[in-house]
Amino acid sequence: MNEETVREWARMLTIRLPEDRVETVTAQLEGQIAEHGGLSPEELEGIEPAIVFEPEWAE
Amino acid sequence: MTAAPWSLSVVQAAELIKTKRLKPSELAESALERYRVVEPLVHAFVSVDEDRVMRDAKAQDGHSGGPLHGIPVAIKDIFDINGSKTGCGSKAMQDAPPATRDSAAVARLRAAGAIIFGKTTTHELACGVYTPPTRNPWDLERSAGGSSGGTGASVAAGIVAGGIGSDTGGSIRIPASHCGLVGLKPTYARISRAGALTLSWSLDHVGTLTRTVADAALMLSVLAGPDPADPTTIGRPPVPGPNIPDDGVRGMRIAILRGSPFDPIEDEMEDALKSVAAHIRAAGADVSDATLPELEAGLAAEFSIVAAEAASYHEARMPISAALIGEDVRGLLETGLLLPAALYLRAQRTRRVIQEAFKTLFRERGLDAVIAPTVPAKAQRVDQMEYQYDGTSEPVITGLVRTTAPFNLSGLPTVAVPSGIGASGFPTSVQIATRPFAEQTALRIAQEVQRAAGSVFIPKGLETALKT
Repeated sequence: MNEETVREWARMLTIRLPEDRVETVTAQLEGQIAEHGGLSPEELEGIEPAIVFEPEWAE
Repeated sequence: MTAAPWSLSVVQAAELIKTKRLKPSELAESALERYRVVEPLVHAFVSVDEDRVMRDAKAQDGHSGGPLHGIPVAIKDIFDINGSKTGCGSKAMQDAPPATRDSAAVARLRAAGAIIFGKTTTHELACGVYTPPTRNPWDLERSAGGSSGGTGASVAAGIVAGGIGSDTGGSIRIPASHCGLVGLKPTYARISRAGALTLSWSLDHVGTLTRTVADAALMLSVLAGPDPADPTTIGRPPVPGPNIPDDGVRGMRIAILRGSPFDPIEDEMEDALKSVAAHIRAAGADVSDATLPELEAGLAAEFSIVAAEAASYHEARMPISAALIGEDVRGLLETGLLLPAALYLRAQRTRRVIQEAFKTLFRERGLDAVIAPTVPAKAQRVDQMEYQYDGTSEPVITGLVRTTAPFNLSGLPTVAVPSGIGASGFPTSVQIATRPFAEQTALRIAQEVQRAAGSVFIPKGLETALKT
């Protein structure tokens, strides 16, 4: 992840990202990606996402 | 009656009003007097319409009503109140028009007879753990926590006996712990989110802050229930009653959660947890330790889900209002807009793993509840950004969210309850989580903890300030 990539992603997604925000957002995005959103793909093999979150425990 | 009306609990005041020993207008007048004295110190409210409060209260004098008849309650300023602007603690919302109807939670409170006392501060867009400019009644140099810090401070300061907040990653339980209160985050979808600001559709929980466990049970019985405007609430188990079965904890199976993400922790929070374990064991519960290594991934999943969902919710507002949003929240929203879908899905899959881990633990051990420290440390100073432990440190927000977020990700009902006063003179707290929709079980255990801890605590900082 670098500032040029962030600029390009923002452009492609039509997200208005002022130039003075690029450095901050790049750093934060890098941090988020480094954390993998939790577990690794290998650890999540076969797991469905909780897209429609259901708190009850099916029997 | 000798106690000042403002100092009564919700249950106590409701009983006095029901039996005509206290008028709603007397309670409202007392609450307003308390507000005028302490609000300049704690800054808990965004707005209070004193005339409206008295008018609504006097209209209830001499009448009978619902279970909260004549009880003043505080509303976090993310819930719509008909005719009021919902400011959400943000300059980005400063031009929002007044709401044209009550949020579902406010409507339910009104229908039960509650007096809407005022709107309380929130950390900007319900996303943070400081809630400026609000101060903690225990120490006016410390934060009341967040994001429902205004409701927490208003209840701890004795202005009102109860109020509502929202909890996406601890935002009810953190102020509860910091302010010595009972914070109830019910099961996800137990209370309608309709008419409230969204931070994260899949993680937001509406709940209560009160001084007693019994008050939390009463307020939950009023607030919970199906609402067509929030389809997640439809078809859920029956709403719990207003009273907690006074059966104690004998025979219950309870696990104390150890290890990551509940370490590191301040010594006094660890001591409090041990005391609670010893007490409930002595009261007849079967208490054991447990670890859930899966929870270690919870913080990253929480932050990814919140960033993506909050950014999506605010996307239309961002091009116009981004510059008006504070640096911490703005960065999260901008990052969320660019977060890869694969990462968001990985976080939601991690969440499923966490949910399954809880389910397996409860089933294999036949558990009724798990108990963990609510937060790892006492309230941070208003300018404190790091928590220090023996040889380690971490950002305050990381510390406060790592212990609370697992219960947002799992959706389990969770009650934060004061467990005593720590060596430093600040309240300690544990959180009790049970199976989905088993709020009554969590409240029963919380009642036992409260019994041992000595019930309601008086914030020393506020009382000292009032004497000087």
